[in-house]
Amino acid sequence: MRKMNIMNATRLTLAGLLSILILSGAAFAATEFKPECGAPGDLLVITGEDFGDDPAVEIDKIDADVIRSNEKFILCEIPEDTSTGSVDVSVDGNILDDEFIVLAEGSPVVYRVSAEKATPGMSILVIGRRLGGGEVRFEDSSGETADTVTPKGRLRALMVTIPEDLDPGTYTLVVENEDGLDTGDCSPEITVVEAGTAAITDITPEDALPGRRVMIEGTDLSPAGFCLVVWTDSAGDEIRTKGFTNGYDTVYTHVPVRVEAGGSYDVSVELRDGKDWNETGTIAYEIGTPEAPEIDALKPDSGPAGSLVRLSGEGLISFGGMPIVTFDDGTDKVKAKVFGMKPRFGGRSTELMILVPMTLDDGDYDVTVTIGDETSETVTFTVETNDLTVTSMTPDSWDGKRFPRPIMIKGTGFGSKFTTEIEVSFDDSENDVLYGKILWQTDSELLVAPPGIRKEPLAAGTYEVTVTRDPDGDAETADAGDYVVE
Amino acid sequence: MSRTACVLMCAAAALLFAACGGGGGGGGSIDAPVIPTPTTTGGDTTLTEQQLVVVRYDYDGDDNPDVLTLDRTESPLTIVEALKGTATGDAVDVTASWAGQAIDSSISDAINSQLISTFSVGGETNVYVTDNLGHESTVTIFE
Repeated sequence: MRKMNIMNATRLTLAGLLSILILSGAAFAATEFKPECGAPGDLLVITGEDFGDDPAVEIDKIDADVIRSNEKFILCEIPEDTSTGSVDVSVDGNILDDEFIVLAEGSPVVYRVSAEKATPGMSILVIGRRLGGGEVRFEDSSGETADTVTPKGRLRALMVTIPEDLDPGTYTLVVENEDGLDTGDCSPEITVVEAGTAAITDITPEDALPGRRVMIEGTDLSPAGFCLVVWTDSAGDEIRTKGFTNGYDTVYTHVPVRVEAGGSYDVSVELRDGKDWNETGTIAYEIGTPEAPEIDALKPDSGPAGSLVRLSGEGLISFGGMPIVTFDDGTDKVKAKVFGMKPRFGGRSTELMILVPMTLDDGDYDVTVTIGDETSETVTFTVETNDLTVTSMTPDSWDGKRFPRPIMIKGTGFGSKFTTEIEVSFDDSENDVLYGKILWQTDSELLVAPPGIRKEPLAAGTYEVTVTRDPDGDAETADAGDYVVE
Repeated sequence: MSRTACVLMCAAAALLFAACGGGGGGGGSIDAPVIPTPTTTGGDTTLTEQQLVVVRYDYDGDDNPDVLTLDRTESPLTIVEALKGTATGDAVDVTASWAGQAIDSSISDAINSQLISTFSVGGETNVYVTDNLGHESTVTIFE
């Protein structure tokens, strides 16, 4: 538990109470922001409901650059001149309850640690910003340094090994980077415990289906990394699945595809021990009964063949045997490539990333998802070439001081990166036309690195940005507006 | 051919393809990968950090998850720093040999798809991906 959480939990100021009153009468409700710490230039996400089209965010009473927003989220940047320490965050003049901790510019910030508990000798992963090149201190409850280690990594990820002779207890993990700045009041805590016997205690969610993801909870599930999960039926037959352990209390795996739906299995985990395996005890688990997958939406629901499409719904995931997505025009069924799946533990909400088959002609197709013997209802995807339009370009300026942010251009008709050539030009009417680099392309989104992003950023001026489709052929164009470099 | 050899050959092929000119619209030569050096002057560190994303998955096919810091201004995403996972749960810094390699384009697309659709800073998401060789991977994305 972080030090600043203790401070925040015990702080309920008059300003906070007033904020609640103001927010209760406001058109929106801002509920929280993440992360809780950052330095000038870092990003912050504010979560709430009913944010307007153009929310105004202030941090420490300074206007914050809103990078993008929708009705539930605001992504913004901590302003350059923000003072260090606890500051207020407000949306459209309404101050949020919690306070944000601003560290000195260039300070390391820790976002997450792979385990809250660890044993001596175990390695943990620390994720954040500006972390490396220095040392990590383990400070005890009195603030004294119990030990110091040199981690591996120096940018956004560190691998930190718990010293072998560190006594059990709770420590503040202070990360100091090569510039001598440290995580200060934003340092995470880690509890060092004695190594014990590996054991598993629970599997969640209950009644998962064959192929679905599950979490196995336990203790002393080390070493971190690859492990095997053994599923034994009543006849003593075993099926093994690959798992990933965080090294202490959680194993991520999936129910084998070949188990019997509705069956009962004894589950155990085999952990690496050099070239041998250590097996935990077993716990009983009941496999669920299949339900048909459900498709909620296709995004987008039209576009050219070869489009990248996100398909969201429930129960769409099957690991160890990919879900089958088909496009049916009433005559032929063509399978789509499923190149990614995103699940949520504890729920059925899922998302698939698919590629619309490149061989499809223009027209309407019934799209279904089949997992095992269960097939969803259909949704319609229209293969067509949309008109080329641009609806927005964000950001539309660069202050010339910081590294230019990639530009998101939204519209229609951008096509597929596999079948459609797109050019994004930057023209100041005086010099040669320059071109941005396409980082991401779907029919409705282009992510573009401004010209010269690596070596020669754009000179000050106003650039007309134009999107051209099929530049060597029909060369259709759409104006994206002006990009101003200050 | 072993999976490790496939991965390395595909990475080399990806680099070769990139050198021949990818992306929409020419703007000059393709720049060699640059490994950002953290500094604190003028906020350069902050800006460099924003172009980086950290992912964890078995990049080299040895059944140990690797931690990669990737450059988001490249397509496919390109390795800037790499911690190669070991069988004991630790990692070895292999940045010197892996930096500059482009990751599998299907995995890169899945990561980009998640990053573009999310409003998350400091969060963690698991995505299950099939790479161009047909291998399934669990990719943890640290936003």
